[in-house]
Amino acid sequence: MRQLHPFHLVDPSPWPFFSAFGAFCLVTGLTMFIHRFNGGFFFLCFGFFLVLYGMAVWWRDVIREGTFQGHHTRAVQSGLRWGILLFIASEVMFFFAFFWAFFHASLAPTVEIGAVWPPKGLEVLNPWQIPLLNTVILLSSGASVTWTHHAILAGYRWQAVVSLVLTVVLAVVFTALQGVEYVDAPFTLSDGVYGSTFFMATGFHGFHVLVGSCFLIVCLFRLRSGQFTKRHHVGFEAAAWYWHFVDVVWLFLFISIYWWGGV
Amino acid sequence: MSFASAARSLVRRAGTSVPAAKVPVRNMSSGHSIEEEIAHMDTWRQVTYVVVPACCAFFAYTMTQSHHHDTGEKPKYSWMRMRNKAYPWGPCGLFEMKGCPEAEG
Repeated sequence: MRQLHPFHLVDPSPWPFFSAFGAFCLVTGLTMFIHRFNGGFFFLCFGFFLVLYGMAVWWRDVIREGTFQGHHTRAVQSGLRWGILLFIASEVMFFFAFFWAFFHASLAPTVEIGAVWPPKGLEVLNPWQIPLLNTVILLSSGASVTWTHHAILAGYRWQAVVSLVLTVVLAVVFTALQGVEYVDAPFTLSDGVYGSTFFMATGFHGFHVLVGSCFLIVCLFRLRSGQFTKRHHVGFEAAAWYWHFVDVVWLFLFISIYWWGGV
Repeated sequence: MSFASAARSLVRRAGTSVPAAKVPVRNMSSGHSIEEEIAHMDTWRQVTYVVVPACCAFFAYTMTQSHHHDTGEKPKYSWMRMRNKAYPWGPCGLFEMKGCPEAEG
């Protein structure tokens, strides 16, 4: 049938309903687990599995539609880019809330924590050791992922694969160092407003690094199998933009929470 | 109809030849030519070649530094180690792998 417009009219799909059900199970299971209901942990794992499965099959369908069926025309690609930008904008708002909580607590410390920041008696992390190293690692990964992008645009696939592998390795090292820092930290989530704001902000950033790493690993497999061309690689662009966003959030975390809020 | 196409139509009607449109340069999705993309790629490859060894050197330096925390007796303020109820996974925090005072009783 001849199509007189450039848009993609998607076929009916079970995955939105399936993923919504998975999200429902995940949140219900998490609530049950935290409140120590019987079967809470099982329900949590079940919901987590459903969400992971829904993500895998839904995005598998999007890759099939875009790469193999040709539904991602220039107009559709433009729409996808706008969607990614709006999603990243919503993520900025998400982190804005945690920074707001941190500055609310730190700019006017209450008498309960000694009216000083960091709170009286709390030993904080040295920003010039692992946090600074993590900053250098993330900035380097930003450079290597930009190398990947230009290698794809220039049609140099081997260089793109090598630089993307390097980016993923740097991401894994960052996550491992963050894990070491968490285990070694002299304070916990329950050490007042400092522990709460610190682990909430850096923990959610770490979660985003994990998601971004998975996104880049998927792109690596797609790149190896020749799914990205000079003119059509929206999936990689989304991963690279997301990775730069994660990078920028870390810069703000390092400057405000580790450096300004720790000395 | 734009002014340019109207003028072209008039010229065609007058029987004169219309100059052929210039063939556009084939650009990549970034809007740059292939040569510019190769130049950008080389630039970012060189940047990566500089920053990744710097990362490795800084990593080695940081690992040689001591990470010991103050293990002396600390005052117990009321806002520290707040445990209003037990965690679902046990008495210690999620990242307290080395144990905690609550587990020791």
